[in-house]
Amino acid sequence: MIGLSHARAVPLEQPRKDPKPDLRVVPPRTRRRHSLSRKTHRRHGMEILSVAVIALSLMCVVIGHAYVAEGQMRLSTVQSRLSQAQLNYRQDELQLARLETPLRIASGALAQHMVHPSQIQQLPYVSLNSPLPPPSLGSAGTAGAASG
Amino acid sequence: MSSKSTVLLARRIRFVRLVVVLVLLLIAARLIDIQVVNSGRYSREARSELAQPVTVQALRGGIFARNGQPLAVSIPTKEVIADDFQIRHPITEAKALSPLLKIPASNLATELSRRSGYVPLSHYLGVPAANKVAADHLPGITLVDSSLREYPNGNLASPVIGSVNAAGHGSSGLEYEYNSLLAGKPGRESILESPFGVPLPQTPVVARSVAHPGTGLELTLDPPLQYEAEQALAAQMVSTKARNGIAVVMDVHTGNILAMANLVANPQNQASASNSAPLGSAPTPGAGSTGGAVVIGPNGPVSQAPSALAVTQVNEPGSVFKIATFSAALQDGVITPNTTFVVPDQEVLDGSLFHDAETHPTQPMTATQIIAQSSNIGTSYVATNLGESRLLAQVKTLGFGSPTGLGLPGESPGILATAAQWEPTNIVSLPIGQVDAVTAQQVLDAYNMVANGGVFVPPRLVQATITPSGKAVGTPMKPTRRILSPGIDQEFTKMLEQVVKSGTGVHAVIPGYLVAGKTGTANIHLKGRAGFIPGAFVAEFVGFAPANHPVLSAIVVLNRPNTIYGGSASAPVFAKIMGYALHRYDIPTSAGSSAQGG
Repeated sequence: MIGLSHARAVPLEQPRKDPKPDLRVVPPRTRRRHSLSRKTHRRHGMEILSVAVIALSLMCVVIGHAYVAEGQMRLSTVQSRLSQAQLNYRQDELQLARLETPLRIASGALAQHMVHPSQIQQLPYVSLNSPLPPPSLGSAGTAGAASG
Repeated sequence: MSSKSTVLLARRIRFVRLVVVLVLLLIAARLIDIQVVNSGRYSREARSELAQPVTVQALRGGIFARNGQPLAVSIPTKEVIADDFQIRHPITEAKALSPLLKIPASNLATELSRRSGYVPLSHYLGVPAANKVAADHLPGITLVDSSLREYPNGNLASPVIGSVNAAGHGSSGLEYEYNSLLAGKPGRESILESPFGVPLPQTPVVARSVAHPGTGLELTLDPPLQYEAEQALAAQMVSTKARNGIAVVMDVHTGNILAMANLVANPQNQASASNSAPLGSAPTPGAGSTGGAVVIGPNGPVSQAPSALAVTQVNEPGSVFKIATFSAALQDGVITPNTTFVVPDQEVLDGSLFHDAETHPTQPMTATQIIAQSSNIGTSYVATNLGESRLLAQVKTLGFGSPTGLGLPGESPGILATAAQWEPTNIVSLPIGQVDAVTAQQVLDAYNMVANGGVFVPPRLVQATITPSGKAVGTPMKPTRRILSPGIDQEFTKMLEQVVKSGTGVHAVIPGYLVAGKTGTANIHLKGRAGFIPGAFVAEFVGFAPANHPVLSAIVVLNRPNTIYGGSASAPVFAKIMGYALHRYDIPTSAGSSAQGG
């Protein structure tokens, strides 16, 4: 390279007067570089952790929403079944009430040839203040004849 | 192109570009204003133009009998409304709706082609059918919540239970009186409608407030007894051609009304039904009866009264009012059951002639005989000994002149004579029930006091309220008050027993039971002027049983029967109703009751 410079007959520059070379002594950087690397790693870890936490949180929110939506759907279904059951109950209650109306029972009784009694025969009043006499039991043959 | 024109063109292009940018910026600013800055306001305004508030009616509370049997219940239904402007194929939709609405397709097709925009097709469609209609997604068909009030017992006790109008509000009876409780609290929703009032399809319904169902009522009524009371009363009304009739049965100790029959005659139908069986005989099917029962309704000889006559109809009480004179006289010691008076069968006082119902020679009569034979002259002697002020005070003490507190609409407190209105003849006419006007329920309350050991117990019809969750909350008992001292009530009961045993009320005998009671036959005033309607009477019997251990009290009132006396017209109905009630509740028979014809 120097030879080529000479061959072009470039006029030699005057040597610059450089008072100081731009050089300085720096302390050993091994330790600093090492510590920087640890910080960077820590920062990276934090960043990853943050992202993970955020992602996890978002996932939790999504899952939570899904659960809530599912719960709402179940609630809606249960409410619908409840209203249907309440409606059925009311209709059954009404049907039962219609079946046990006195008019229907009285008409049914008459259809089976039942009539109002012209007079109700009352059993005679027996006071319980005095002990009742013991029942007189007849012979088995008499009882059999009576029942027969 | 010269350099000058090129520069000009470039300037113009820059200007146009600037204008376009400015316009776009303005549009963007407006968009931001609409979509971001004031988006809420514009959204609200847009919705408010379309959203229509809708009131969601709460399901009305039910009315139940004492045993829980429903007397009135509301069933959820749907109202089907068609917007025929949205219906392009009315015949197709009519065919689809016909089996669900149970309306002929031809009729529906006509309805759906009216071009009115609002055609109610069915007011009370059952929910299962309504769900099928909704599932069909027919254009122009809208379903709106409604409810149907059902009375499973038909018109049984309808003057007491009442009815609701087309808007679902109580219009009579307990339905009216307890309307605010039964109706519940309506909810509010908003739906989106077009400016023409057509609900926008697939738009959400926003609930503003939830409807709360109404509170139910549990009554003291016993449906079988109510039915028997109505049937017995109706049969006698037909038999005696009475214009209206009242029968009330009451629990002596609690004041619970077990039955309250209020009937009016249908004169146009009575002629065909007059051949039906008289009271007490086995009923036979015929005109005016179905299956041996008297038809109660517009097509029968009698109908349910428009109101509870037992508390709304006032009339002169007649001889049942003698309770005021005799209870006060016994209480004050003015008489005993054996105090004797010499009693003629008629007497003139201040120019007015008063007489007993039956002629008899002037004879000594005990106080018991006076009330048993219902002697008007004898009663006036007791009242004279008692005094005007004490008599007037006793009338009020027995509850006359005050509402009974049953809670039925239109209740009358009655009309009482005051001391300022006193006339000399009142000392005879008031004790025999020819001055004051009272309701049947007031008379029953007074006699029930005697049955309840001299303690007045207010009547009641509602024994509990039923919360929407089904919990029964008992209504508090009203305070009672003692009117007769212990012992006096039994003396008076013995006197009233004689009315049934040997007096005017022998037709009230119930085999096996001791019955105490009083007959009454009252004149009916001419409307708007002095005097009475000739031949028109109110026949009454009020009493209780078993007289030795009273459990039930009852009153029967017949208005203008052709058998005029209370003892012959109303007492048999009392015996029939009370006899049924005593057997129904397994009330033990009375010792020594065979003397009453058992």
